[in-house]
Amino acid sequence: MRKGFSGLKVAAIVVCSLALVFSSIGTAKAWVPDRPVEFVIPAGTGGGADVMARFISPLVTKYKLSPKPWIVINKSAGAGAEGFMYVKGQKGNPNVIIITLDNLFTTPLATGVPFNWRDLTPVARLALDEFVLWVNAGSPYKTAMEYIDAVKKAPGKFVMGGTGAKQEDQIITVMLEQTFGLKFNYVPFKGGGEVAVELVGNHINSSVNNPAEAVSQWKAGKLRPLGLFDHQRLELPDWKGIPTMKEATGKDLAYLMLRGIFMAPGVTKEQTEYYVQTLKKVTETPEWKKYISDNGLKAAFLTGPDFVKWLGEKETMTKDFMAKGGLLKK
Amino acid sequence: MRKANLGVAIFLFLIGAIVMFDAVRLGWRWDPGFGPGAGYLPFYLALGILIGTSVIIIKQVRQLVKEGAGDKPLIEEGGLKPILWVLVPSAVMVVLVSVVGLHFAAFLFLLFYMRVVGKIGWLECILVSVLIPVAMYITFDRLFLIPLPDGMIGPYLKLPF
Amino acid sequence: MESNFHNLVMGISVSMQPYHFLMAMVGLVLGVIVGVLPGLGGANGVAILIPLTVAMEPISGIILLASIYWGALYGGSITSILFNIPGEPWSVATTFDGYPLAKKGKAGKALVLSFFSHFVGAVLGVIMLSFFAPIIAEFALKFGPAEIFSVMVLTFSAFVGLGGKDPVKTLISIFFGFILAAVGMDIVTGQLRMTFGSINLMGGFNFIVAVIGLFGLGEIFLTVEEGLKLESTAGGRVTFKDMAWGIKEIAHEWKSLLLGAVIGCWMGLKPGGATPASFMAYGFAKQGHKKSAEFGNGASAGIIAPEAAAHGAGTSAALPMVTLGIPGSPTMAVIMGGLMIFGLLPGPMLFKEHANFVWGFIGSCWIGNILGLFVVLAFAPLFAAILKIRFAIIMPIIVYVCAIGAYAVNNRMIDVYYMIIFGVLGYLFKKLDYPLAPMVLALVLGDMAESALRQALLISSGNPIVLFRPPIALPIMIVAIIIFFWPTISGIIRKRRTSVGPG
Repeated sequence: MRKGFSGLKVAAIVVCSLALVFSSIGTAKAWVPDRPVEFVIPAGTGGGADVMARFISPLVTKYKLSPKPWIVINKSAGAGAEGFMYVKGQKGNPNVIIITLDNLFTTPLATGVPFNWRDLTPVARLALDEFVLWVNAGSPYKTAMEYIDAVKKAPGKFVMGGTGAKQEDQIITVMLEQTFGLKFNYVPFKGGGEVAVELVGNHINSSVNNPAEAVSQWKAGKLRPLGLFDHQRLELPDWKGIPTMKEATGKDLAYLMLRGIFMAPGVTKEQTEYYVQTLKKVTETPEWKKYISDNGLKAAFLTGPDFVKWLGEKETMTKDFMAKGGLLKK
Repeated sequence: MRKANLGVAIFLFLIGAIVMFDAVRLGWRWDPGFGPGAGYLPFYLALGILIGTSVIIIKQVRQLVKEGAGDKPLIEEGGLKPILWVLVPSAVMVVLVSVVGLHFAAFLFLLFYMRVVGKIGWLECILVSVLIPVAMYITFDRLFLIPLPDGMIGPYLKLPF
Repeated sequence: MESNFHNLVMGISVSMQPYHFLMAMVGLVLGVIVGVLPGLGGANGVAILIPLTVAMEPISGIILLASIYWGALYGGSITSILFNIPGEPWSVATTFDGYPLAKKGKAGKALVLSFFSHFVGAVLGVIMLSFFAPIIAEFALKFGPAEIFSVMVLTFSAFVGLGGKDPVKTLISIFFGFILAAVGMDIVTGQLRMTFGSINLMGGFNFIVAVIGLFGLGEIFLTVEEGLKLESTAGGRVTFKDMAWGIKEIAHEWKSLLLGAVIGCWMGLKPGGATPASFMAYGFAKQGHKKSAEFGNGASAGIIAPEAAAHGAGTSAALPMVTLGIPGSPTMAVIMGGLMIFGLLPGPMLFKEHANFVWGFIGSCWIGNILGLFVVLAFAPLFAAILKIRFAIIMPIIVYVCAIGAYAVNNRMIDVYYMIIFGVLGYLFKKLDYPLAPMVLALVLGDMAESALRQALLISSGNPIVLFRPPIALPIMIVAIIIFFWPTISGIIRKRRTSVGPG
C-alpha cells in the first residue's frame, strides 16, 4: 500500500515536471502557426493581389518559413468588403491574414460598409504598386501632353478604362481631370488584365493599368506608356525609360497602391512578430526580387509604427481624392 | 395544386416588390449620355415579375373561388412523408454544422438516415457513416486544403495526422 | 504553319518523356477527382499543386498543372449524368439529357457519349491552339463590350425553345434568374444592389450553389416522393459494347458534335465563355435537330453538343493566356499565377521569349487530352457502379457531398443554407411548371450580359446603335433575332407551303 502510494507520488512528480518542461519549451520558442494559415484575398482570381498571395504562399512552403501551409482563399464580394469583414470577425485568431490593396480604404468609403483599417492589426507593407498612363501603340499620341491636349479638345469623348468603380483607377482618372481640366468617359471593367486587352483591341482610348497588368502587351509592342504616376522614375531595368508625369506634363501627379498584410484584431505582439519576420524573409528571396522587377513594383517593406503612420496618411489622402471627385458614399 | 401555385406566386410577388423598392432607390432611369443606371434592369425585371405573378394570382384566386382547391394535390398522396424525412434531417444537419462541424454533423445525419429511414443493419450503418466523413475530411481538409467549418467542438475532433 | 508543325512535334516529344508522361497521369487522375466533386474544380487542384511545382522545371510543372485542368474538364459532367448534380458550371446543360438517359438505365452509355464528345471538342481546340493561335487572338481582340453583349443575346435566343408550357411562368422564371444574378455589387457604379446592408447578400447568389440546390436536391425530393430509387439495373456497368455504341452514336450525330465543338472553341476565347458555350450549343443543337422533341428525355445529341462545347471552350481558354496574357477561365487564372512563379510572364512575349516552354505546353495539351480520354474511360465503370449502391445509403452521402460543394465554392456557410432553400424552390418550381433551364441561364449570364450592355452604352455615351455595330455585333444580332422568331417564321413558311402546295 505504502509502496503503491509512493509510486503514484513519483509518477505525479514526473508528470508535473514533464508538463513544466513542455510548457517552458512552449514559451521559450517563438510563436508559429499552429493550424493552416488562412490567407484571405479581398479580390477575385487573377488580379494583382491574388497573384501576389498565390506567389507568396508557395514561397513560404519552399523556404520552410511556416510549419503549416498558407491556404489562399478569395473573398471578393462587395469590392473586398466580404474579406475585410471576415477578418474583422476573427478576433484573436492568429491563423488568419489578409493581403490588401487600396480597397482597404476605398471600399468602406464608397459603399458605407462598417469597416476601417484600424479594425485590423497591421503587419507589414510589402511593396507599392505603380500606375502608368497607357495608350494603344497605334494611336498618334507619343507623349502624355499630346494625349491630354487631345482629350481637352473633346470633353467626354475619350474613354478611360479602369478596374471597378470608385476605386484607384477612377480616383486617378479624377485626379487627371481636375489637374488638367479634362473630362474623360470612365468605363469600369472587372479586372486589370481585361482593361489592358480592351485597350489593345482599341475599344477604349487609354488606361491607368498597373505595370504588371500591361507589361506583356507593352513588351509585345501593343501598348505605349506615357507617364508614371510617381515622383521618381521606377529604378528597375525594364521600367527606367518611362517618364514620370512631372517630366511629361510638368504636374507632379503621384498615386501608389498599397500591397500589404494585416491580421485579425486582438492578436498578441508575439504572433504579429512572427508574420513580420516571415514576410521580411519572403521579400529577401531571389524569387521575390525577380517578381518585383518583372511586375514593376516598388520594393518598400515597412512595418511597426512607421507603417501605421503611413496608413493614416494614406487614408486621409485617399479620402481627400475621393471627396474631390464626388466618389464618397452619400 | 392551386393553393401551392397561389403561394409560390405570392412569394415571387413579394420578392418582386422588394426588388422594385431597391431599384427605385438605386436609380432606375436611363440617363442620357450615361446609359442605364444601377437600378434600371432590376426595375423592369421586378415590374415583369409583379405583372406576371399578378396574372397568375388573379387566375388562381378566380378558379379557387369557382371550383375550390382544385384538381390534383401538389404533393402526391404519401409523398410528403418521404420528402420530410429527407428535408428535415438535411436541414438539421446544416444547422448543426455551426455547433459540431460539418463532418461530425454529416456523421450524425448519415447514421440517422440509414438506420431510421433506410432500416439498414447497424454494422453497415456505422461503417459507412464513419468512413465517408473521414474520407471527405482527408480529401478536403487535408489533401485540397479547403478548411471546412469546424463548429465549436470541431477542433477537438481533428484526426491526429 | 510549317514551323508550327515542327515545333509541335518537338513539343509533343518533350511531353512524351517518361517523367512528363507520369506527371500527366498524376495530374489527370487528380483532375478527374476534383472535377467530379461539386464545388471543387480545376482551380482548386492547380492551386494545391503549385507549391509542389516550384521545385520542378517549368515545363514539368506546367504539364502537371495543365493535366489537372484537362482531368477536371473530363470529370465535370460525371455527376451531372449520374445524379443531376453539375460538378462544374459548364456541365449544367449536360443534366438536361444526360440525367434522363441515366434514369432510363443507360448511365454507362451517357458517360461514354460525354467522354467522346469531350475528346472531339478538345482536339478541335488543340488544333486551333497549335496552328492558328495568333490569327485567332487577333480576332478575339475585336470583341468589345458591344460584341460580347450580342453573343449573350444569341445565347438567350438559342434557348427560346426551352421554356415551359406556360409563357407567363417562363418569363417569371427568366426574370427571377436575372434578379438573383443582380444581387451584390454593381460593377459599373460600385453601388450595392439588393443587399439591404447584409454582408452575406453582398456575395450574391453563386450559380453553382443555386444549381446544386435546384437540380440536385430538387431531384432528390422528386425521387423520394415518387418512391423511386436512384438505382437502375443496367446502369451500373460500362461495357465495350457501350463504347462501340458511343462511337457510332457520335458519328451519327456528327452535326451536333461539330456544332458544339465549334461554338465551344469560339466562345472559350473570352473569359467565362465555357458556360454560355455549353448552353448555346445545347439550344442550337435542339433547334436544328430533326428529333428536337426528344431533347430533355435523354437525346444523344443533347449530351454531345454541350459536352463538346464545354471541353472545346476549356481548351481554347488557354489561347488568350498564351497570346494575350489574360486568363480564359478561373483555372487558367491560377495557372497564370503559376507561370509567374516559374519566372515566366504570360502574354504575347511568351511565344517569342520562351518558345520551348509554350510548345511543350501545347504538346502536353495533345497528350493530356488523349490520355485523359483513356483515364476517364477506365474510371467510368467505377462511377457507374455508384448507381448500384442502395438508395438509403447513397442519398444521404449525396446530400453531404452537395453541402461540402456548396460550402467550398466560396468558403461560406450561408451558401449551404441557400442550397437547401434552392432545393425546396427547385422542387416547387418543377411541380408547378416554372421551367428551370431559362432561370439558371439568366442567373449565370445575367451579370455578364448586364455589364457588357452597360459598358457598351457608356462607351457610346448612351447611344444604343452601338449594340448593332458592324462588322461583328450586327450579324450576330441579326442571327439572334432570326432564331428568336424562328418558331413563328417557320410556322408561317409551313402554312404558306401547305396552302400553296395542294392549291
